[in-house]
Amino acid sequence: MLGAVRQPGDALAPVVFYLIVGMLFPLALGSDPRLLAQIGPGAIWIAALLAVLLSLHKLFRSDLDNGYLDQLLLIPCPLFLLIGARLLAHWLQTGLPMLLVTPLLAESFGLDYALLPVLLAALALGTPVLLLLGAINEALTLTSRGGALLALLVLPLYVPTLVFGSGAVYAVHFGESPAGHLSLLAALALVTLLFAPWAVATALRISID
Amino acid sequence: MISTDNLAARRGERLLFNGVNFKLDQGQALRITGANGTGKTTLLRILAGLTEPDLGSVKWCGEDIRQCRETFHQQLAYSGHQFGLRGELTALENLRYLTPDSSESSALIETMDRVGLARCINLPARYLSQGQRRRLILAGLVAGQARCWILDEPLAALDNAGIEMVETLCADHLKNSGILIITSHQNLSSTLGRVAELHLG
Amino acid sequence: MSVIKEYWHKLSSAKHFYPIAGALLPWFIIPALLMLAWGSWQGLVVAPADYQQGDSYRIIFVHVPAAWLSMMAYMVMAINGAIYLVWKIKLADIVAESAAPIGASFTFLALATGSLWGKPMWGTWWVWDARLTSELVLLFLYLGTIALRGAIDDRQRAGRAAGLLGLIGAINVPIIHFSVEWWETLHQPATVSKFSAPSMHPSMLIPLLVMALGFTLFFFAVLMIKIRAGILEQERHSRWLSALYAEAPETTATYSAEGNLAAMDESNE
Repeated sequence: MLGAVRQPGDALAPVVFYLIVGMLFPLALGSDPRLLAQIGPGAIWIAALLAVLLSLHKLFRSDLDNGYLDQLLLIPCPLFLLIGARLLAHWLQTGLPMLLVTPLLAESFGLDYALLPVLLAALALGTPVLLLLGAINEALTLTSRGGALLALLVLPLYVPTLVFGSGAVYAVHFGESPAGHLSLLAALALVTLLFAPWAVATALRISID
Repeated sequence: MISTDNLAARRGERLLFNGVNFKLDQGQALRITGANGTGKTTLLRILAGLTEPDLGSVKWCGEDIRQCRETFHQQLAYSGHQFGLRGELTALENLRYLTPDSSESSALIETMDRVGLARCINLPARYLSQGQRRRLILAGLVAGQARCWILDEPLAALDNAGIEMVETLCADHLKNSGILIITSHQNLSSTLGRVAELHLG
Repeated sequence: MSVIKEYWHKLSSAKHFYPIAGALLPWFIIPALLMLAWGSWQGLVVAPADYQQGDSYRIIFVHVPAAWLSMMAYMVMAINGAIYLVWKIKLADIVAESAAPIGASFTFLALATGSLWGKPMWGTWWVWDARLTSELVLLFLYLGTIALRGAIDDRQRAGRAAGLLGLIGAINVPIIHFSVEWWETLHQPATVSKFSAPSMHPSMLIPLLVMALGFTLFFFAVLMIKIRAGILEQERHSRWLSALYAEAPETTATYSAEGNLAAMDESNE
């Protein structure tokens, strides 16, 4: 019965952030089309990563404050399933809209149209991983002070996703097959999907204790 | 059929309580008293299975709740200091979340009526006053039909009519072979019958 | 079997480990210092200059062992953190907490020496090499764990959260390492790893191994010291510690709650 909760204002914020960060790159780096085309895939990935991080901020915090987290732990259903459902809903709210506006960003960097399918595929595989890992971090730092600083905890964990994800797009850019990158990304996504909800549940239990 | 076995808990370096033992059968109620900071809320959370005790265990029907977590939670209703309501959902939607087993809207609306919230059914929960939120939680308790109620300060923020209603609902719950564990600064009236007491600190 | 169980039970109790750590300490520190001294002399003075890199390669005698130790310390931290998470053995938490800053220091040392190595070779202070980048990520993992522990007020919760994070980090370290190597070959297709030392002459290899062993013993020595300090801090109210140091009577009788706490701990162990 747990489904996504609609809060239109909050849901759009990460997507807008994604767009804005993406647009900051040309502004900072100059409008040389070759330069932009070269940094484009990487820049878009960075923007996506930051947007996901932002969307996760305070993911569980309001739940903690209003006691909803207690009730969540008391539902007679394995917690990791509930968490999984919640995060899936979160991705549909955040990741999916981001995918939809990616073509706009790609255009602003002047990326070759051939790159777009790979970019979207890579982001589709990668953003859930970023979301899941970020959720672990949010759950761990729920009761700590200085939460924003600790969001950096998760950056080492983001490295593989970033490498494989942006690498896939660059592979196509250099005329090679992205298959290797994408399959690694897919494997990463699968493993994270299996492991992360449990980790988030454990972290929540620790924070609640 | 909830029992404890030598429960002990600490917060940081401070020992809160030690050697807590009791057993409650159907239709029995326990009131936990003690000054502020003596660990009443911690004890309640341990009993509900939200917090791990430092020593000892809680048993539901003879089984450690860590082993039969799901079964226990199916029969448990817990109400803490915060209400566990999501502000952006309406009162009715919140109620539905609190009682996942019951699916009949009409029954839920009837319960809301019973606690005096008939006018607030489709109001987003963040517009409810403290007292109204408390009543909504009570509606959840009643509609959920859990066997064991663990309530932390359920009488807070209620007027006399509200307090009376809570006590009536609790009394009905006990009459239906429910178990009640409650903390309260105020004395409970005689509607609940004989209530065991446990004093901490 | 029961002997092993009893031995394990004793070892995992802070009360019993404290004197053991103290006894082991000289056995770690003296060989460590000797080995480090010999290894340094051999490596920095005696071993011949590398035909390719001249004398500046000598930094590997510090860089490589430091890198190995940074990994090993992480494993120690992660395993103990996991033990605390699952079995709630408090000593494991102390070990994990002690290992973290030592490991972070070794990581920093590896990065600093790696950077120092790079400067005369390639003219820059930093190179995005697979090994160095992996070490940098490892440093962040360490710092993150230490920061998490510091930012959570409740000690038990901090230990469990740090334990979970260490576990997640440990699982991710191989993945991260692999991805960084992958990344390096992707963006610099034609380079051989800059820090590779293809085959080593025994006159270089032996000092390297001795340094590595020396560093390892040094790590354990410092770890023992930190563990003892951690035990002192955690058990400061307990009776066995007061008895050990024969404190004045009035300090043991102040709070009955603490006395109960200590009694609880002793019966728990």
